[in-house]
Amino acid sequence: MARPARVLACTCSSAMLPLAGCAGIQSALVPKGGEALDIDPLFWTSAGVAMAVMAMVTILVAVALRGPVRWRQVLSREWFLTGGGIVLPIVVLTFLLVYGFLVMQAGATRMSAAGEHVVTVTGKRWWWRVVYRTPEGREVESANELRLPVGRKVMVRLLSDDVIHSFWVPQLAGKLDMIPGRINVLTLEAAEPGISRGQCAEYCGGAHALMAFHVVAMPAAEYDAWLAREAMPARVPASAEEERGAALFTANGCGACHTIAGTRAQGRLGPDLTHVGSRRSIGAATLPNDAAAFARWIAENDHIKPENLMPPYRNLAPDELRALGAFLDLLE
Amino acid sequence: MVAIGLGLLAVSGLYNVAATRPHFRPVDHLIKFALRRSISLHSLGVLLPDLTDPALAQLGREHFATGCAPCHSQPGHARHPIARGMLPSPPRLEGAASRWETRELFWIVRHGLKFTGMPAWTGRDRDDEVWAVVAYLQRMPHDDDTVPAREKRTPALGFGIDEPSPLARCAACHGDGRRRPVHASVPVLHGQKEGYLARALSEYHDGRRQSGIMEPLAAVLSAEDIGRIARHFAEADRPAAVARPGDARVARGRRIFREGVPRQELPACRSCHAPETSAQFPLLDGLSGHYVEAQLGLFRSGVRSGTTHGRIMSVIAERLSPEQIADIAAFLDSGGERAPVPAEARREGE
Repeated sequence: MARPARVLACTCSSAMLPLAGCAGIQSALVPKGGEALDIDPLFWTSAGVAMAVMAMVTILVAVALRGPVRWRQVLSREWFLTGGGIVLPIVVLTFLLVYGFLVMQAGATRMSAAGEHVVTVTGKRWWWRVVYRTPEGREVESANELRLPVGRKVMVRLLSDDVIHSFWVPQLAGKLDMIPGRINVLTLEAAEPGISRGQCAEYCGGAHALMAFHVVAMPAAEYDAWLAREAMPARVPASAEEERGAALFTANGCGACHTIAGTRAQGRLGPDLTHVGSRRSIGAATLPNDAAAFARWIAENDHIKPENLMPPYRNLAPDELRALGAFLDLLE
Repeated sequence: MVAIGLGLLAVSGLYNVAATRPHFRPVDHLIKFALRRSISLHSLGVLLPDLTDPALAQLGREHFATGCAPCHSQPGHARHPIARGMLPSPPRLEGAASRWETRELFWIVRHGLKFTGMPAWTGRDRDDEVWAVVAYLQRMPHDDDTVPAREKRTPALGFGIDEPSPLARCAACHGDGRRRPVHASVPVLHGQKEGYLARALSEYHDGRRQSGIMEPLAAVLSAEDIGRIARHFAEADRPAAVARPGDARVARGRRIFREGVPRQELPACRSCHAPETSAQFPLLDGLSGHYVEAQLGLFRSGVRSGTTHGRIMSVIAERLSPEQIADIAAFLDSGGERAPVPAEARREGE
């Protein structure tokens, strides 16, 4: 390949590279619900207008430099300058502003419709505490995963009790900060079942980059059944290995920070583990959810997620870690 | 010229380095002068703690008997014949406190002296222990001349345990269950969990836990010794708590011990430090406030974070303020959970 051709190929392929990021479970360009679906046309309209203006200006510059004399004379007329330089921008920008206001307003109107289904998400360093309120008014605690019923508007109250975090599920809505001492409210509505991913979008210290979560949208009936199960105490260990894991959990003081409903472990500092085995990830979407990952996390969490607040339990022998992993993995 | 002359002397091998041949007098004077100047200069930055507590000197005396006396001898004892063959000869230390400044004594014990056989303190970053030896040196009695030379005993050579049973050596500092430990920096061992005691001794044995006092003693223990000692103390009764009227400090410490401090991400101490948890997690009730404060300080500064268990505790200890450490220390010092709880605190806990 000739050199200029190769340069062109390289430039093109690296320019295409970011496009790969446009797909996937964390892309605002693949909206799957509520606010994100409204924002989507706003984005494409703004982007379209911006590209049209860019093309127009480029052509005019080319004409002004190289065009026929008669065209250049037109460009220097006063009515052209007033029309293209003042009137056109005012019209275009006013249109975009009003359109944007109309779209963004939608969030506020939607909020009044929600209210029955409430989830409180609290930003922690560096994970998410998720508390569902059941229709009967009971609170059901979970962590690092948000389940949504398809087609229902859910009011998500966003809190923080340490530093400022930002809650962002690009496929469902815009980002909203979680500010200590304030309650910000976001309305989410999943349009179809599926899994998307959210991320803390405000730098919040050491492990900020590994503070993510999954959002699982499920049919409303399935969601109701799931929430009823989630409200139940943890499964009782069935095998000898699980029982050993449960005993190790107690003996090593894990209950100081973690709750497993139905046991003596009632700690509130770390994520609730009552049904941890049914979640898609551990460590706030850092590791997959399986027995081996639990074992790794318990002993090596300071290497997997530096600066996270859990101490590393390297005092445990490999077989003890396996038993703990088996126990936690089966807490479904 | 001088440099060439010294070079030739070194190359020729004529200078006799035998310990049986003393230095030439001018060389001896020069070396001793340089030594004093070096010690004086390098010890300048040393800050003196309060050394008036006689118990601190008592702890220093116990360490001196096994760690220092083999070479330096001790009051009422003769010099060990092998130590007598050393050059420079390890000086007797009666009266050392009048020959050296306190800060100089600390510096020598802490850092040791090159080419003399005087070793540095083995416990890395354990300056707190060095002061016990300095306190003893300050109070060391002068040699008792009333004991006839024939009847004087010689301290055992070798940094270990010369008593018939290692347990006697333990009891000398840690107490025998009824007698409290010799100094507040020394923990009570009676009634402690066996797993923790065995682990602590193994960590000292392997040099994973730092202590200039415990490491040399544990180094000579076999695995069986360690098991026997751990079992002995674990089976003993925990000494009765010294009931002390609880002040505000104790009440705050009790709260941290039982509930932790959620806004500081601090779990309750007792969720790990309790009889029913892992045998590797020590009981804290009845430990002296001094010991608790010193050890939490070692966890915070990372001196005790080298072991797997120490690492867990370091992560937690870093979240404590010095005031909170003092509160917890006051609570445990008052007997911890075993102490009678004042009526108002009982109500608070319900």
